[in-house]
Amino acid sequence: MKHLFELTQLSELASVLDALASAVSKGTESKELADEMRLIAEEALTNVLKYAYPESEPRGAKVTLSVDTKEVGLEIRDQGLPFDPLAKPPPELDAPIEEREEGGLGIHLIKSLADEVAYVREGETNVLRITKRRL
Amino acid sequence: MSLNVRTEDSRSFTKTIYLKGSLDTETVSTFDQELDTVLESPLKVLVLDLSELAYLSSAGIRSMFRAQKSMKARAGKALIVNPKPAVQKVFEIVKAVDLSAVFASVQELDKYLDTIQRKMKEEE
Repeated sequence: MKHLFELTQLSELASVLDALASAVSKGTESKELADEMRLIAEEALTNVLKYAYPESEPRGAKVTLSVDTKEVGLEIRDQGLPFDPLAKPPPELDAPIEEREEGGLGIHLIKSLADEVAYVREGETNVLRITKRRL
Repeated sequence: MSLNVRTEDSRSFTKTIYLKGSLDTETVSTFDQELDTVLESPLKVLVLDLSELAYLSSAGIRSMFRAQKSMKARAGKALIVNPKPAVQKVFEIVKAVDLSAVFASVQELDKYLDTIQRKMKEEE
């Protein structure tokens, strides 16, 4: 089962996340999985909406959610600046709180919660694919 | 998803912020405003009661960093009580809090606060 979502601005994020979580919850009967996919999507989409279009008209992102018997998949496409989130170094998690930088946490959460994460640049499009296996 | 916050004074120089709902990109400004107000007071211990917080994203984590940094700067403490499993999981992934500052129940927290207050009185 596939579900398609599109959004252009941060103000649209909450309703997209609600719809996405609802689709996962209905498709898997797992609120825990729905919440984790919601979190993964929030982190990925917030990054796109905040940073992908610094000097141009924001063109948002297209999200494809797929739910089958084995896994839940998320594909996020945007036409912003080339950006491979997997290439960023991890945050310094062991530094004392007063020295901790606040960036990089979203990507780290995505990588930690997902079973597979893959990035590819297809022409002018960033494509991020995230998979979480169902138990 | 929404967020409800309320603050209660408890012991001397201690305030508890109760968070209910979801602390995420959409709701974080609600928490930030409450936190700013609370941090204006002469506070030594800030408790974040997360018993009814169902969801936490990195936007919320950044605010919690700010709370911890602010309390550390005034030689105070930021303590967390009763996080739900999903929230605890996020804390563990990003190592967002000193886990010795996380309490599983109000009773555990009260015991710890008794100890701190005794030490503060001895230092006066």
